[in-house]
Amino acid sequence: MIIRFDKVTKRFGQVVALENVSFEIKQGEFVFITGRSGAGKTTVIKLILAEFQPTEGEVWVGDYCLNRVKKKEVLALRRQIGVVFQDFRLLTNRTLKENILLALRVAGYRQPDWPEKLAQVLKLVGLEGREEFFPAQLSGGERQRACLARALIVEPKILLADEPTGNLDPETSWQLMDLLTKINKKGTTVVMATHNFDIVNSLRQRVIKLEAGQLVFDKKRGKYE
Amino acid sequence: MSKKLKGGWLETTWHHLRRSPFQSLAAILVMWLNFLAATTLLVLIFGLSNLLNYFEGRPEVTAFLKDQADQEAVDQIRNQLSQLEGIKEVRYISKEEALKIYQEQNKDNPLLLEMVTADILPASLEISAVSPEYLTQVAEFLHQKSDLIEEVVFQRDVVERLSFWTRMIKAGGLAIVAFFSFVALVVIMVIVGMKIAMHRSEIAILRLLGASNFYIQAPFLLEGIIYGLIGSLLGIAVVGGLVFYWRPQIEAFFAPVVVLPQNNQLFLITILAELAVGAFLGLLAAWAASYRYLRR
Ligand SMILES: Nc1ncnc2c1ncn2[C@@H]1O[C@H](COP(=O)(O)OP(=O)(O)OP(=O)(O)O)[C@@H](O)[C@H]1O
Ligand SMILES: [Mg+2]
Repeated sequence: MIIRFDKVTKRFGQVVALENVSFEIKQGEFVFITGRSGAGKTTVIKLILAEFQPTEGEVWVGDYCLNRVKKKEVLALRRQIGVVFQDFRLLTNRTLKENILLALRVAGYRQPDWPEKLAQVLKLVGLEGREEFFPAQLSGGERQRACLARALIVEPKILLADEPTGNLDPETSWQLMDLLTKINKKGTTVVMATHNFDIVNSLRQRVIKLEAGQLVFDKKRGKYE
Repeated sequence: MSKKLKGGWLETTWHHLRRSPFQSLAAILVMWLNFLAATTLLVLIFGLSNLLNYFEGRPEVTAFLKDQADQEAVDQIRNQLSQLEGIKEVRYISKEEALKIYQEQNKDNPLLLEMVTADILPASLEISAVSPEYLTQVAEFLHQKSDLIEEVVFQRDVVERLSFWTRMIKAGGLAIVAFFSFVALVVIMVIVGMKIAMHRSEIAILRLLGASNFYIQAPFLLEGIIYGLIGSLLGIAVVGGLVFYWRPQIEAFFAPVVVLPQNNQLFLITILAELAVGAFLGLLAAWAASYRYLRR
């Protein structure tokens, strides 16, 4: 699925979150979206998820133009996109296991397949043995990985990660990046918003840099500048 | 429905119920009241219409005799009555027989028995006709004999009074049940609405994961259905339990009229129908509440 922004502007009242931004991300790419706080990174991610629509311009995901898509199609699209939210968005009154399985339920996976997938994904993010913990009983980094596990368990075509290393120590951050790279190698598009310049500079992937809502550069093997 | 239901809705519903038990209790209570009223009404209507059928099927007149009426005069009246057209039977009930019947009817109440002797009870004639229209002439005849006859009681009057009360109870009962249903609907709507509001952030997350409206709505609908089912079941259980407990007394009191359903199939059908109505009411309320909140 191709993600395409076509002269996208997003305003919240007086605030201009994005202004005339255009880019295209192909299936299987790994893209960093960088920029200072308030530059509009989260806004890009939310537009892809169709949490809201652009004020001007068009956002395309696969065959769908999100400006004029049916509600049902949005939901179907979301089931193919995994998201690691900046604020996790785990259900506080459900255990880690229930939170992760929720994604499978929503996507309509058969129950016999659940335990195997759960075990796989818990191992992947290193949360084995924490199944019965509630989000409040997990550390910030563990919550972030829980959120990643929920995103990955449905084997999404696109993985959106908003500041996934924000709460992690450098070592764990690198483990997570290894994970994302692995997933990307399997063909999943990874779009990651971050201001961790260490990671961006080391991995040398495509970088889209935003500044006050404007796209300032889009480089193939970019650095954090 | 098993816990293995695809959406895990029952589990979610269980979470919802457990997290706010008092609201759930309130919802169940209004449903319970509603079905307490409804079941009572059903029992009353059933009993009354059986009574009505019984009396309608018996064209009868009872003539209570004055104490000064001697045996000869009474026999004469009996003879004359028997010769009228369409008369099936004329039965004489003496004071002693009347006392026996009275004693039989009140055998559990020694106080009532003590106060009554054969003297106070009037003897009577029970005249039954082939069909009600023949009773007019009987009435005319009895009128002429007012020197011997104290009072004439027509089953027709009983039937009229019964059918009046049946109509009143039906109308009043239906009004009460309709009102209770309305209250139950509103209360469950408010409670489910509150629960949806409580789970706003959860719903927002489900949306972002791509959950369909129905997926999100289902646990709340199930919650409404559960309120309806439990409430109606409790209502039926209480009224049904009381009726069963007093069944011998009720049946003895109204005998020979059969006022309670005799076959279990009718019981079962009534219970199932009430449960279905309860579930439907709960579903309707929950649907209305969730439609307002979830479908924008
Ligand atoms: N729902 C909203 N209503 C009003 N303003 C908003 C809303 N969402 C974002 N904004 C504004 O849009 C701008 C871009 O926000 P965005 O969340 O995209 O920034 P960001 O690049 O993700 O920042 P950070 O690195 O701090 O997460 C900000 O100025 C923010 O205040
Ligand atoms: Mg952000």
